[in-house]
Amino acid sequence: MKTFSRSAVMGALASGILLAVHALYFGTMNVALADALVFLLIVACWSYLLNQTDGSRKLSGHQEASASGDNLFIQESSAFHVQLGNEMSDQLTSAHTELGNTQAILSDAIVKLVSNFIAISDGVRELSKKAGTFSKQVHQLIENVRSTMSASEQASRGGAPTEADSLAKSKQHVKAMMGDLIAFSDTVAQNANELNAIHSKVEQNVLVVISTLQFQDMSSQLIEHARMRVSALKEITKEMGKGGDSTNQREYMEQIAAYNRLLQKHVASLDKQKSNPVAQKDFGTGDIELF
Amino acid sequence: MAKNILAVDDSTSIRQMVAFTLKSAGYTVIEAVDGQDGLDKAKSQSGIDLVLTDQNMPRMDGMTLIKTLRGMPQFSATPILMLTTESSDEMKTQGKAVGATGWIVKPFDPHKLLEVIKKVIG
Repeated sequence: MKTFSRSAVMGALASGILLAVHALYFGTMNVALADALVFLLIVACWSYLLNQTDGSRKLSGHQEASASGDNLFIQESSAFHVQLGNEMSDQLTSAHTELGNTQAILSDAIVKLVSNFIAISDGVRELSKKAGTFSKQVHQLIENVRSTMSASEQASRGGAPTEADSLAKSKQHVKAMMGDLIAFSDTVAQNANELNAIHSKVEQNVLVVISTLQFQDMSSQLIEHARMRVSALKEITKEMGKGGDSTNQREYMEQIAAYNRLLQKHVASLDKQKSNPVAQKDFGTGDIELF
Repeated sequence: MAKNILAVDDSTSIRQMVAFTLKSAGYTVIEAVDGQDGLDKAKSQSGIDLVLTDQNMPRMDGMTLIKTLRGMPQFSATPILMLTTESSDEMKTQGKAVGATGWIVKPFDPHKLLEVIKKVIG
């Protein structure tokens, strides 16, 4: 730039000197005026050329700066994608693991809960059965004592008076014992009936619990679907996290297109999977249809 | 003699609940953890009076199980009930097409389940 300006000044000076010599040679006012005009014209031309050159250089510099800015934008944008991809991938991995743990804990808790309810129901049923058997055994015992007593009575008829007296006393004693046994038998029978009623109630309640605890099966399916989606997103963000070394606009656009293709692939894959099978919104029991 | 029911579900808790409900009513229950296990047990056990199966299971789903069982002469007339969270008409139509006898949507009411089973196998 400086060399060009210097040449321009030198050229203008040389032209000025030549025109001055020309004017002096002819020595007329008209020629001097014409030379002065030509000199001004030459200076104007040089100024114009200088301005043009300066403008062109300025434009070229601006374009260079702009290209450098674009590259910087692409690099920074690319770096941001990598950071975002890595961060999201980490978060989604944690979410995926946490959902899996939630599912496992929930499943374990419900399985234990159901087992315990069933054990309680089975226990009460067993107790009720045993009480029933015991009641029958006591009843049988009373019947046995009754028949033994009756047999003894039959045998004592026609015996000596002292024996008859002793037998009468024994009979009274046995009768009293029988009264106690019958009362005991009634209590046992009543307890057996009560236990039976309790067992029925427990079983009914367990059946109600069964309807409610099925939420685990539904929530498990919902969690599994959420995990599937998280897993797909995780893969996309993981790919983003790997990044690309694109330094120009074309490579950068190709990289974006690659992410988009991966996203579309996962979306298509998720769409192919069955739609969410759990549409239930409350614990009302489902429909039954026989074909 | 107690009737035999094959209960197929990948959820342990659902299998427990189904087995408890059916056993309480006097049925004998054979449990299977997925469609493939259900098919294996159906092949190895004789005298299965009813199959109760879930739809969404690993290895083999309920529809495939029903289709496969219907292809076996011993199961051509055995009642097969689907017990699933799926409630769409589209799925029910598919179930009917592959040979399901009925469709029960979870959560099931134990009393209603027993009513249906009684209706189907007595």
